[in-house]
Amino acid sequence: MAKTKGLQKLNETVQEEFLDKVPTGISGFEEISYGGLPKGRSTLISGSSGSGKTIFACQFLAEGIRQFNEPGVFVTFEENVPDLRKNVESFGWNIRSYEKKKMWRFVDAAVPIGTNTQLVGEFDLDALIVRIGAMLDEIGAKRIVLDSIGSLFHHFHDPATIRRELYKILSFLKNRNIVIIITSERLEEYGLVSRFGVEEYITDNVVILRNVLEDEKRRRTIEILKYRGSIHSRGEQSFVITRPNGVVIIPLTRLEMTQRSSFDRTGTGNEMMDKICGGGFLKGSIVLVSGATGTGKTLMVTEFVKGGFETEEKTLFLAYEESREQLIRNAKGWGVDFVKMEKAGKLQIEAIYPETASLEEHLLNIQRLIDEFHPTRLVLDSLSAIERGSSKKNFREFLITVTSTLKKKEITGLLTSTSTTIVGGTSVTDSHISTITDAIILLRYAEVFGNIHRVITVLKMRGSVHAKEIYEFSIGSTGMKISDTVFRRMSGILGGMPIPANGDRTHEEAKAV
Amino acid sequence: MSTLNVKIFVAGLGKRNSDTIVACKEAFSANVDSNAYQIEIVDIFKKTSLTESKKILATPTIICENAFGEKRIIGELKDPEKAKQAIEFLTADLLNQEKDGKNKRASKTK
Repeated sequence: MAKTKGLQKLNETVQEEFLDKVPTGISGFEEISYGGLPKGRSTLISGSSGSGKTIFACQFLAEGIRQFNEPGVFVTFEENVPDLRKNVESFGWNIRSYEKKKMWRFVDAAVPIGTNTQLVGEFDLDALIVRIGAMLDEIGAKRIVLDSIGSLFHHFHDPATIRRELYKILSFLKNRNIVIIITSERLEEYGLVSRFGVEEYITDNVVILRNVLEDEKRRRTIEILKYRGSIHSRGEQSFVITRPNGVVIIPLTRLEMTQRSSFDRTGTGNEMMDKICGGGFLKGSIVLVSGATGTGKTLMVTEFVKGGFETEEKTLFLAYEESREQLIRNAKGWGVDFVKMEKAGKLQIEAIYPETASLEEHLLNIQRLIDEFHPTRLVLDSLSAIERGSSKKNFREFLITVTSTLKKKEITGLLTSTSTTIVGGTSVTDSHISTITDAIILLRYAEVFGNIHRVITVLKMRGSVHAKEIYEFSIGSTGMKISDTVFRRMSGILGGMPIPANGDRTHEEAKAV
Repeated sequence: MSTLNVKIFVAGLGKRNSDTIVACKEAFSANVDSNAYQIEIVDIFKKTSLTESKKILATPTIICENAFGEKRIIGELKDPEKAKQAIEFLTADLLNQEKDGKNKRASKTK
């Protein structure tokens, strides 16, 4: 007896030193938890109603079966079993078939207290432990979910007893060295961790799911609040619940800046533009094209696509402002045949209304498209359209994630942004994105003695020399024609306050500066 | 008259559990006609599948059932007064329903 105890103790210390982590199979969770959840430990998933606790828990078991062949037991205290099976069907989890294969078992622990049941004295939950134990043994479970323990407290009115009994259940489960998830409800998004104030003390790890209203939009986040014996990402990470993927976490803070910088050039699709940029865009760089409406952003984008087609590169075109048909027609007007490119498999146009989905969903969609199509060029037209329906913070996260995805895959990205004022000025988008992008190209209107001229300039270009001057350009049936002489008729165009310049004198001044 | 089936679910037969069993038996014999019920003791550690099929969560649990339905109490029965109240809760509706059912059947045959 003494010997086994000693052995047990030894096992415990070993366990504490090396956490034996099990991947959950929930997309993104391994990144933020540095490998998953530990065996023989309990993790509390706490969240307000509708925050996705039950889905998270079900997914933990379902992915355990699908990806790792690990059976699991689901103890339900609230929802009845047929409802649960049905509710998660749309995520592609066919629980009935898992049950048939002896990979999944339910323990229906719905608290029966009501008109036909009365609580008269002291009790314990040994019967529940016996039932759980029987199910664990039957299928050799490696994972277990208790969802949600709040209703125990709710119905039994005696927190001290429930706390003691939960502790008993947990130590019983821990001895089996399986991964334990417990869910519990909380009342506010930013308040006490759990409703009854004891759940977080009896569990080893705490994960909080939130569903926050931000600028009239719902935003889901996940936060690992406590993870005994392990490092983990801090703060809230965005996640979405999609069908059929379930919970997908977008681990922003762990995006690594491991991409290498390339000095290779890729054509802009416009000969003069290539010259201005010192030989084309740098491969894998993020280029922002900013200009007022009608200055020729879509044209630049079209030429960029054309340039890619000529060098046999694949382009993914994300259109958030114009429909497919409009884009194809416009391109045709400039002598570019998008339909032919699509047929050749070199172009994929995705026209989406930005308002139809949350930013996280857009993000996942973009990542999916990239993974499926493997483009080397990406066009996003326009960022301003996406920004319209999102909060500032959310938008910045979106940008960072998009750009880092592009960098990781070494995709050259051309993003457009519409400035709010017709003449001069920068848009809000620009200030958000300017530090993230590698190059910024400005397209501006300039009024010269009653005539509107269009001008273009490269504001910045990381890792490359580029022309610093302002050039005039015109739009014709063959596309963008950039004049090879520097535009010197006006100064102060970029500031939005153009003043006529007096020919040579300004030239001298410009040179002096 | 159908019998009331009484099942007392206990976790082992320790002192506290046998107290509850004794209290329950005494309360039944004092309050219900001895032909009207039968009591079965169920040890959850031995009869796991019955525990599962009856969805027992806590022990001790006393289930009282007949053709008309089922009633349960959870918790220890310590003093006779408490036990008596518990037995009244368990049996009252079931026995009344049985009477009602009989009257109905009687009126139908008329």
